[in-house]
Amino acid sequence: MPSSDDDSQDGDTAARSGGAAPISPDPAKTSPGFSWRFGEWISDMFRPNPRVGTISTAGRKWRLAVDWVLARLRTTPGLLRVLSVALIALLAVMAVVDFRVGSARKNASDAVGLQSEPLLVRAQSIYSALAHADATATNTFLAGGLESIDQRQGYLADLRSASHELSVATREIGDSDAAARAATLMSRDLPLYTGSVEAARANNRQNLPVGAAYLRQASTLMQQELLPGADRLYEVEARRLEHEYLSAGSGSDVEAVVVVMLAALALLVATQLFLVRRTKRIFNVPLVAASVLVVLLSASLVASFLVEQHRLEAARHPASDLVGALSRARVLALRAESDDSLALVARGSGDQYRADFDATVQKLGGRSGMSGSLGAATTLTGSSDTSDVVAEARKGYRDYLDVHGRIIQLQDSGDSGQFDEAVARATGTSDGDELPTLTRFDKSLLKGISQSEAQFRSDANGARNVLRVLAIAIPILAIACGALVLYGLQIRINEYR
Amino acid sequence: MMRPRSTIVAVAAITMAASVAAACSTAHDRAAPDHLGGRSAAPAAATTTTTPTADCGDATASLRPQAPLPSPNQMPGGTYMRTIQERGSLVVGVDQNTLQLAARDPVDGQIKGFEIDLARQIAKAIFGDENRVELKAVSSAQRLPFVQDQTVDLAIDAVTVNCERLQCGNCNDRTPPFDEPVAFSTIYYDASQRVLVPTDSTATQLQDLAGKKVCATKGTTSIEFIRQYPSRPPLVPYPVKVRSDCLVALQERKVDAISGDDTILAGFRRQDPYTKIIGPPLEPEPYGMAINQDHPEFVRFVNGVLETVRADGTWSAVYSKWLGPFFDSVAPPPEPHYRD
Repeated sequence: MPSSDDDSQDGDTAARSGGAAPISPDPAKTSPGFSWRFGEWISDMFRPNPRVGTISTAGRKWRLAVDWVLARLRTTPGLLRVLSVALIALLAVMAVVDFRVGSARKNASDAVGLQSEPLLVRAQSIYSALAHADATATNTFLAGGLESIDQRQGYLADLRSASHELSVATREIGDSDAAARAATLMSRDLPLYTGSVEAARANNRQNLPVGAAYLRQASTLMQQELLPGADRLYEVEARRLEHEYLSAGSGSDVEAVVVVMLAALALLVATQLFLVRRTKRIFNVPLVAASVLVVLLSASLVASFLVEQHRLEAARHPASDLVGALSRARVLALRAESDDSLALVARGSGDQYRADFDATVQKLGGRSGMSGSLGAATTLTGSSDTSDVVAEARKGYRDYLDVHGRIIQLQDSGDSGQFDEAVARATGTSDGDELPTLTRFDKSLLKGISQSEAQFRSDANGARNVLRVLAIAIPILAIACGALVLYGLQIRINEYR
Repeated sequence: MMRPRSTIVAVAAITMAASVAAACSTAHDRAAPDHLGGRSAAPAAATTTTTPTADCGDATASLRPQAPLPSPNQMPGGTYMRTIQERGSLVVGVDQNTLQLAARDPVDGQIKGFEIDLARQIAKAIFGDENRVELKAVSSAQRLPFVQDQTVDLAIDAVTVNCERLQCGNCNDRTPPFDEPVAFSTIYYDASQRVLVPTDSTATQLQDLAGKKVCATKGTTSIEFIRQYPSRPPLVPYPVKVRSDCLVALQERKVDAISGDDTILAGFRRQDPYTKIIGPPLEPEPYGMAINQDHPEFVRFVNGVLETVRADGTWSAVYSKWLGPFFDSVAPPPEPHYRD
């Protein structure tokens, strides 16, 4: 801002003469034709006590600066200049606060939408790919030495996707120790698992029963290390997502925005009131415009926070919750299928697998599919588009239970031929067999998951877009405000030339 | 060197100690602390020699069959065979991982082997149809409890007949019905405990493996033998749930050796040419079919079927089909012992 001494109208030069000598200006003499009590009051406040003898050098410099400002304050244009500096500074503070608050929100909401939720989905898909691979390996063993093309390719695809997702997850895990440890252990165990499965396969093909022992070893590794690892990964990511939802939607930063807005507004209004008194002009249009802009900026900031919060809430509930419930259902279905195969492999001594099947099915959907994870999914969908898909999944689930019941009947009939029939039903590929039924069920779950994920993405993107607009709007509006203030005050200052 | 000699003496002592430990009468309970503390100590042997196994006698002696056998499908009323006949199938607990004895054929999913063929002979005697048999795969730890709670009619699963099992099934388990004695048929095969190592192993007998890990199946006489073997440092037992898990452990070099019945080891050798059997037979393992003690008439019936099978050459045929290639190609069936 322009600042020179020659446009000062007051005759008092005591301040400029400076020196260590404390000035003691006569209030009556200051600013002829101009007495602003506020200015006097302030200069009184800063007037040093003459009785204080010695002042340090730093104190002197400080004194000089204060004196200089006080000298400015005694003239109207000087006061206006100081005011415009203060206003610009306050507007800059407001812009910085608003920008930081906005970008903190945007980061948190990015973390939800771009990082944590995808990582959570990743953890879920690692889990289901592994569980599906294991169910396939066990079922293949049950079917005999020669697996079907579909099963083999399905198994390989599961492994590819599990190790791909695992390596991506390891890269993206960030600073979470627990998640990193889980991922490291899984990366260590996955090759061991596949090694055992392939040893089982090679031995099976040569008719050697030690193949079954390798399969058991693989399955034990899967159930006791890999799946719990995937589960831990999921838990860590779920907790982190929960935390980020909370920080992305917290209300405390709104207060900071409101406080700086009120401060800027107060100074703007005070300046205008001063101008009204001093210049007898009722409105200074640029300053009024600047005030309106400040209010507009803050209001739009708060409003977009609210919109973002609302959209995030929608992304979380039901979309994100629904993804969770359906993914859990999928994992449980695969576990039930593994149990079913293992019970048949155990051939009569698999009571523990049957008990686990029953417990798993309870968590999955109970008898009708209206409790457990499927029940939760049903409640979450309400009447949205996904509800049809979930209804389809419930039907698939009931069909699966029917086939399972028939297999159990055959298994318990106590006839070798019936047992073979049970195995045929469990491993067969025609319509009423267990695998195709499970696949149908699984497909509708997958469809539900991808629909809810799409919904999540659109909600989360909506939240992020709102904030993205702010990132541009805040600096532009703040600069506009500053320009208006300078312009508005400069008009008045020029009148004193 | 005097070490081998002293070890052999100790082996003898412990073998006896083990057989007493196996005899789970009240005498066993009294003697138990001695066995636990006396892994290689002479006092244990002293106790052993003063405690005759007389309360058990010849563990392999079973009940004499009542000739002639009833015709198939005409089981006398009130007998357990009648119950089985009316049910329509004989439920047999077997293993499905022991090549030659009983193993699941990965190609057709059927369990096959020496023991399965014998089980079919019993089904054939009851139904006239050797396919009327339901095979339940059992683990070594499950087989006797399944007989005791009648989940299976009989267990044909390389079960060594000994006094402990005759008197209380598994003497460590005191919950009914698992504390009940188990009855056995006459011996259908005389196996013996041996040691299997990889071909690159320098060990030539069990004592060379002192301090090394030796795999055996839980709930078998073999794992007990490994636990009590008096080498210094002692053998490190590596118990597994299912027999064939031992072969996996050996192939992945997690253990240095497997100890088990020669029949089972023969199956392992067939699956892995890089293994060899070392040392002398360690302990006789006479196999009997385990039957619930409440059905003596069924024990007699099974013994009758075994008599027929031995006499008409079926045993020899089944033997040469499954076990002959690994042992003596022709062997006489074990002589039945009866206690009445």
